[in-house]
Amino acid sequence: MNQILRQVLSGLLLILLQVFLANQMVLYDLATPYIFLLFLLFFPLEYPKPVQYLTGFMVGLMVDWLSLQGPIGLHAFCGTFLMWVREPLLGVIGSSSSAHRGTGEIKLNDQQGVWYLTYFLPLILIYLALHVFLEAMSFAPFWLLFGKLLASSLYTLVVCLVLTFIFYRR
Amino acid sequence: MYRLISFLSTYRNVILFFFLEVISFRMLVRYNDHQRHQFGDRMFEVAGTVQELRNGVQDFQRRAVDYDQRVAEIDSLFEVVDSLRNLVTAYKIHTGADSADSIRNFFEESRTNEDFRYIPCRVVRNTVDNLYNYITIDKGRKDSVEVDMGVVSPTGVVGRVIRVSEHYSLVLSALNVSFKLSLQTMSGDTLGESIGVYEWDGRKTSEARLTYIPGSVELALGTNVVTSGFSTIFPAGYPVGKVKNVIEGGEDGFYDATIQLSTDFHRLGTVFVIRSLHKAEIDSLYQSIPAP
Repeated sequence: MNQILRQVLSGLLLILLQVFLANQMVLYDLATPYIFLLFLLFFPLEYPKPVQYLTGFMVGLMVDWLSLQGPIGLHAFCGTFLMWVREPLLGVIGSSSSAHRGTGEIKLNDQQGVWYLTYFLPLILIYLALHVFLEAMSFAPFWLLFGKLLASSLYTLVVCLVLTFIFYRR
Repeated sequence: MYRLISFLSTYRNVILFFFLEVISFRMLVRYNDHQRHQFGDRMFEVAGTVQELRNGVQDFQRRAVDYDQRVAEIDSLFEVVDSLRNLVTAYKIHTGADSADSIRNFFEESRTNEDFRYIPCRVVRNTVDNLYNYITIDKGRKDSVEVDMGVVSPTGVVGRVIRVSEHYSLVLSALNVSFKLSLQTMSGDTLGESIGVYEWDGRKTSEARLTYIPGSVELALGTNVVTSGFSTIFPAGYPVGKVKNVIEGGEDGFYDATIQLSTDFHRLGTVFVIRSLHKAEIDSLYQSIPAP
């Protein structure tokens, strides 16, 4: 019960931070840090999959609605996809801590530093690729969109890594 | 039944995933203008391509059947070529010009004076049996087709462009109850007075209505009805149809008529989009009117 309550509160906090703070921290009209992704990235793997997918959907939708700017449904789409794709990705990269090696079990907040880079980078890239190209609904000004994708990914990655080492890692 | 249930329970996670993705995608293309238009354009493009592929197959079959007709058409084209050749010879004799260049110059000069350019297109999709009929043609933004350009067939008016994507355009067919056009009569080569507004009532594909004809106008059956030059969409005097029937007793001082359309909408093949070369100039004059 305690853990669920903590999940909900940290989720709400991250969504509010995203909406009121991070959305205003745009660099050069190009890069936005999507810090609420931390909540999805650290969402416990033990929970049933329907809960994981619904969480991705609902959190995305809340960010969409509260942001009052971007299109409705975009973060919801990408969030659901993120929750779906992180399972196979974790299967590929495995766990870095020796305690769980071989058991197939992965504790998200008990890993070595570099592991987070290999976990975050592909997911954030996938998320932002979906986000940027679906927002434009085309590949039209390709280099602009690609630049946006790279810049936002890098920004999000850095902010998320910093927050991870401060708050999430045990 | 049991299998269905076991299938659903095995794949329930995947089903939920796709369900959520479909919902959010629908939200995305439904509640957001930019995404909706972009997505609509994409789908329109895809539909056009599919339709064109299908038409290719049908075209091939039709071509085999229509072979005899084509031969006859080619013969008549040869006749046209012959008469043109005679004309050129007559022109040569008349002006004393002897080189092909001077004749080409003559035509180039007359070309610079024209007001409209015709872009040939193929119809890839066409409906006639709805109240709101639309036509898709295979030229788009790439071929400088723009919204609000007129579309005609060799025999008469066809419609107006209402939406343009990269390679295709959507045309509001003249067989659409929201299509309106101002018309005038024409006898011989002389344009008559402006007489009324074209409307389609959705009943027959070969007939339309001419409304708001002033009571002072005498309209004989069989009179040619053509476009008036009041818009920059169609050139003045393009054929629309012939008066078939006069209906007395419309609104005060006006009456209606039925016209037999000169375009056969069942057999639209090649059509022409009309690009008015002076539209921007004319529109800019209107915009220079000071606000009251």
